[in-house]
Amino acid sequence: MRNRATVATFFRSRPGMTLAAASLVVIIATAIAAPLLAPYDPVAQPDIVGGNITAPSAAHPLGTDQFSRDVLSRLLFGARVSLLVGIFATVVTVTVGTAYGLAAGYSGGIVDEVMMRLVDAFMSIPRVLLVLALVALWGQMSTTGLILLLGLTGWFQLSRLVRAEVLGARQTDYVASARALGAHDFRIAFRHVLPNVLPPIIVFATIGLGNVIVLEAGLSYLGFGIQPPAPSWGNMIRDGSELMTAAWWVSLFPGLAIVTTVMAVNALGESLRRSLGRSESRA
Amino acid sequence: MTTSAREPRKTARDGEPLLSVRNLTKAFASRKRLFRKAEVVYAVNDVSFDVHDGETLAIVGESGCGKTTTGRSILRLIEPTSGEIKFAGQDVAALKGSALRKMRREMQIIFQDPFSSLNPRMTVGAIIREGMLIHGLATRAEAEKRAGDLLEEVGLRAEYASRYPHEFSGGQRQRIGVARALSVQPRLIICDEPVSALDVSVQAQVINLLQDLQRDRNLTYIFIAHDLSVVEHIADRVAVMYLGKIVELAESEALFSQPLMPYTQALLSAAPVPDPARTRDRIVLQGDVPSPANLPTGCVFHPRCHHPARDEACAKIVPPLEEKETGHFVACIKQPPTMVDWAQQQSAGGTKPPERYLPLAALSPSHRSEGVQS
Repeated sequence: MRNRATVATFFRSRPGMTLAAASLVVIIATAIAAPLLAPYDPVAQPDIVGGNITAPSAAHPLGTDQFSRDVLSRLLFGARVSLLVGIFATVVTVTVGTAYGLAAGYSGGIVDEVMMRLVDAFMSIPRVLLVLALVALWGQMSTTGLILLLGLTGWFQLSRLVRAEVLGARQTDYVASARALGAHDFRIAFRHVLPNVLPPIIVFATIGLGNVIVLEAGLSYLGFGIQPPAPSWGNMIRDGSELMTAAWWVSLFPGLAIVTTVMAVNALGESLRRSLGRSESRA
Repeated sequence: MTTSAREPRKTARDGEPLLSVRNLTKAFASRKRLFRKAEVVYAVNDVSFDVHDGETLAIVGESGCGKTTTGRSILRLIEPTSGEIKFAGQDVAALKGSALRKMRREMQIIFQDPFSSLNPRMTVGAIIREGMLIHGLATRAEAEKRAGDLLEEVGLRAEYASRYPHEFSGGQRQRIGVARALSVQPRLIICDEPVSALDVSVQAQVINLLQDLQRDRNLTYIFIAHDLSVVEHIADRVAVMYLGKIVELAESEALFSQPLMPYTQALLSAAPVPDPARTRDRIVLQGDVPSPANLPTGCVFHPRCHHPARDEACAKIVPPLEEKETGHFVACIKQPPTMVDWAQQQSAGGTKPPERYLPLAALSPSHRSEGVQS
């Protein structure tokens, strides 16, 4: 009872966070339920000969593209791909970045020095260039490949962040006390240090998710990401890019979907940062 | 550097000391910078002392004198640069890996800051249980029961086990820290300024708790502090540190009634006395504490010393910590008797022969609180 009340107050006192979280929940739910919600098959081309582009109408609420495919259905299925890639790439990023930063910060000394200089080297290359170079090297990319590619190029900054936090946490008396009690390094790292550096990691993950969604859309737009005919928000924008004046609906709706999702994710990250920061200073 | 290696002999007690520290040194090297040599700072410089079973040894001194570093080096929370630490016959300084972790059960620590010493993401129960589980002292269910008992023993309620540290006040948190230290049934607890972050009213409660626990569990304390009235109340013996060295070590009563080291004399004369009717003559030291990176030669205290016999010899000869009276060790070549004889002092440039100097005897008892007058 007490818990439910606190949860309610928590959200009521943070309308921005509530709105952002709610929109995300809706977006994710629609993506999951895409097969039930989509009126048509997202890759079916019913009018394969005429290739009719039709404006939004009752039959096709968001119109059809130049291959006569239903934009709404593609948008819903595209959401699955975009979110799937975004979320799993973020999971990869957070896992690798946290493990790396924790290892560097906890080891200290020469190990830390070498690990961090390596990160500096990676960070000197802009992420987009790095991704494009790797795509060129790799050639055709499966969804798993895309997830790994985006995940493994995004953790450098996080590892620095985690390392700095770990260095701070290592100096605290509760870590000294755990050591005095006879705790093993492993236990200290995972029971005492990691839980206390979690808030910035969560914030980074949320904001990183927005970045990855945009990056994936960009890659697909350039033709390096999700390959047609499978829909993703990025390659949908590309499909419509040459028809912008004639058939604005083909690009506009996936564009809006990206903007809405990324804004919701970033707003959530920002409000998390503020509220976690606040509870931190209170403690 | 190691002239003060002579062992302070145990006095009123028989048997082996529980803890015996010899020539403990901790040097910190500052980072090398361009065009500058790396500085070496001796936070603890050749410190030796014994702690006997069941006693309370206080280590006092101003901030930066190395008292906390001494305590943490004994626990190997800081790796000592050199020296020997023997606990119940075992060489702690040489232990490694799992042997060291096993050893840690015997010695615990209570921290100064009750806010940073408890992990904010663990419940109070989990904090207290951790040590028992690490050392396999109890099954989970037993540990839970014992955590509740420990909370009650330190004056809290057993139900608090499910709460988080931020729900408690400073004094309560300090009690939780005490319960955590007790959880592994240690023989020695290093209390690192355990009450200096607390309100005065709460200080007394925590001090009384520590004394009760010592009586009930036959604990041995190393009590690190800068508050002399607290020390006078709790300590059996007192070691005074200045710039990383022990300059005086004596039974509490002897130290407070007849301090021999000029530094201790100044320290005691500066302690406030809660009696407005008494006027006090304070010994005011000149200058500041020298930088530990650039220690004075000879006696580290000589640039600020007020002993009338202070002379060139003090700047040349490192004074050994030697027994001036039974059980009363002082590092001062100008307080007789001394094994650095007058001829030696003269050849080091000494011009004034050693003489007993007891400025506090003249102002006694105004410099002391009532407790220990004898």
